[in-house]
Amino acid sequence: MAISEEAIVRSELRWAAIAIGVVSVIMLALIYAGLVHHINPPSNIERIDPKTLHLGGEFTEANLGTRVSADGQVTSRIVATQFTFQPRCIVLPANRRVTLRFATPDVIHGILVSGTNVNTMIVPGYVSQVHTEFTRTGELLMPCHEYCGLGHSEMSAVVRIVPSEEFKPDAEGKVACDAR
Amino acid sequence: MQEVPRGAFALAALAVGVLLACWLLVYLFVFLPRGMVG
Repeated sequence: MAISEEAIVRSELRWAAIAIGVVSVIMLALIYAGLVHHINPPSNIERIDPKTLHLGGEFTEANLGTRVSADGQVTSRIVATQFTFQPRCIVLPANRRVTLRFATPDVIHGILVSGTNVNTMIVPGYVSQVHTEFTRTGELLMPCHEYCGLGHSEMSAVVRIVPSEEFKPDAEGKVACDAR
Repeated sequence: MQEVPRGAFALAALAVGVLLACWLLVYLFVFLPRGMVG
């Protein structure tokens, strides 16, 4: 069997073109998802002192959970600790842009809201922020997905998505889970 | 003779094609439907 140099080079160039084509398809798909569907990795850079989270500012216990601000923005604040989320249950409206903000006073955690693209790390010293819009109602499990110690496997919270009509903030703009 | 290992190329292309198809299926039916995040 005689294989000429040119034939080999031609075949290899053809295969290189196919490989570049495959990579390009994947990159274009990601760019399309980012620009058209607004699916982007969370990239918030915001620092906070993990040692004094509970003493003042945004992540004091009274300020946690879902709150609707005066301009209508829905924000849910959650503190991740070893080995629980505070609060363990939050309520959010469907079909409305919401913001989730996380902080931790101890070690690195991570959250994932099952069935959605909400997925971020929570690093001590930083505030993690994710914007999203939930399209389906129901109770979604939000486990910690970054090993944070011996109790990591038991660490989870619930995100309850309710239809907009059922999302009623109280006088302070807060919406809590309550036993229902 | 201009002989190249066509069978090897066919097998490689099939394998890469299957992987790319799996990637596209997950992208279209799992990733995109899970909605916006940013």
